[in-house]
Amino acid sequence: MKKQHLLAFLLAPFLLTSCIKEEEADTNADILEAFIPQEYLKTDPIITNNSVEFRVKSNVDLTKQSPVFILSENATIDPVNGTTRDYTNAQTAVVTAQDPNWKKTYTITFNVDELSTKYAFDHAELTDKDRYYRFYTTGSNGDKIYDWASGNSGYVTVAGNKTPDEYPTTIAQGRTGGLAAKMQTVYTSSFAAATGNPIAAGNLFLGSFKTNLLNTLKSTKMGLPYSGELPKSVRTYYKYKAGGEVRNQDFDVVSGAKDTFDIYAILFESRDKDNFLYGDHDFQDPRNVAIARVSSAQRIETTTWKELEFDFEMVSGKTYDPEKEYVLAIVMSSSIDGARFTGAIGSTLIVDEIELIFN
Amino acid sequence: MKNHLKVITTSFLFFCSLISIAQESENEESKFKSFFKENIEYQAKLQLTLGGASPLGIPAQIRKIESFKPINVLGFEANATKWFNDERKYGIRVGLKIEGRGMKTQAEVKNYFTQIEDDSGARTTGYFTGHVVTRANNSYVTLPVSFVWNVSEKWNVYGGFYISATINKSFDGHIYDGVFREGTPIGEPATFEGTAIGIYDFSEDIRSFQFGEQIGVEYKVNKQFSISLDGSFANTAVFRKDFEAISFKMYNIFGNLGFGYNF
Repeated sequence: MKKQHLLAFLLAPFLLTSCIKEEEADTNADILEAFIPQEYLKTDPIITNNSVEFRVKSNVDLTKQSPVFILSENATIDPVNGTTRDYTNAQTAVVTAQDPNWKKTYTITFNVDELSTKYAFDHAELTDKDRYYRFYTTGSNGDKIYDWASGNSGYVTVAGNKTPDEYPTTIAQGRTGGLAAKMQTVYTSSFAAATGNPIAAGNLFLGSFKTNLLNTLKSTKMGLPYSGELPKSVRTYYKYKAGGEVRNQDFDVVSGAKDTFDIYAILFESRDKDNFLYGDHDFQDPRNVAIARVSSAQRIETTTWKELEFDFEMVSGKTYDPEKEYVLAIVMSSSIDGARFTGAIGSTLIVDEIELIFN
Repeated sequence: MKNHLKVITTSFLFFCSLISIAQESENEESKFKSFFKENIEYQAKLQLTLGGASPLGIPAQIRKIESFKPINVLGFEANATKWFNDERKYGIRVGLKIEGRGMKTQAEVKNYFTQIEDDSGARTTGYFTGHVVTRANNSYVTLPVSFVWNVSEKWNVYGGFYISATINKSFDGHIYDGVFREGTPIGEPATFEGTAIGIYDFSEDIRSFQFGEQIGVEYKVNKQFSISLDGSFANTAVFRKDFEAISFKMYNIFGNLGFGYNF
């Protein structure tokens, strides 16, 4: 009798845990991959949690396009894959999870516009439940184009109820009315800190950001298709204030260090897959052709608008062919070592108008 | 370690006071005196606990329990059994114990609603599919009241209710190797891979009082020593009523193995 009881009591917790219920229906309603004929594309489709953008060559007929999407397991899409529609303007598609209570409306755009050579950062909107700002421009078809990406969507997970102004990348008063882009280095969270990203530098770059919270460098995909002449330089207007103590990725104070900002542009060779630079490129990518970067002498703190111009320098051994396709990454950050999670909380970079200057 | 020390000291002090109360009472009037002298047994008990804070029936979000490890398993109890008459067949037992209630589990989950937080107080709720480690380590001071039935020379069966107050609360853990979707199951995804973890700590949300039942058996090895086995089941959830960071209610369900010394 004693033994039986002993067994029953010892087993009780396990008996309880052994009755695992039937698995519930999947709730993922994501577009994971998107396809159109490869020869139409200038770069990989840019997919976010609720949009797909195809950057296509100018000779592509947008009135009859039939994109195909790979979805989350057991999810369905309406209209069905391969439906031919007119994509002169953005279209929408609804992805429904296996559990039909969960569905997402994706905006699907085809963008034939060449990359702009001048951005004023005058237009921004609140996104993702109005939690942070993103900048946009208006394309030739009247649709909004989101060339500039930031790490804001990755910050959401640790932001709690912070206001849009407290996110790493936000808006500020522009130089001549309008808006400007404001980047600030902020503290992230204890759990991000535990894995070596205690701070987030505000950033803004041509490209896309796919959230990978704790591998932020791989979330950052920098660069958009570029063709045309090699620009001579980059010109911009900025304000900068360095924060206090510089802290490294262990959140230790780097003694004697003073924070500074970074602005640079890289032109690199185009390829079919992974046509971007990750955040940890460190200017060493073999595809790099020409690099323009603000010099150390130019990194001056200023509370009034200051003009900044810096030249493209060819990477040794590389030549530029204006007939070829390239990729352009323009990157701005409130802390120069932000990619290594090092910077001073409070460092603030405000940028208005960034322009490629040609001969 | 600090906890254990606290538990040991408190229970020792309690035990001493119980004995002194018993002794003092000898000086009281005879009726009162006889109540504490006749047909009464005093017992001190060391308890090993196994169990956990568990939902009643595993919710569908939990796909697999990957590991379960009891922690903080020690408890100390002092009790007194007052038999109703000289036959010593039925009686009432009142005790006081200090006990640990702990476990560490690792589970695979799908769409597990949780809240990860930051030391600045920023909290993010969402749905996580991946792996969750949960560590519960609570200490309670418990007052069990049981009806005792002396079945045979060697065996007692007892059962009744208890009330508990927490003296130490801890319920924390982390999520890893999976995807956290912020807000809703279709919210912005954040991937946790490699060494990346999201921490949660619900210690402050542990309910201070518990109420439940226990039932058990006791085997008398000889006049002094006895071994007991009982189960205790809480009627009150582990967390406060307004606690929402876990979508299902959890209850303390534990089995206790006791080694008693009768005075």
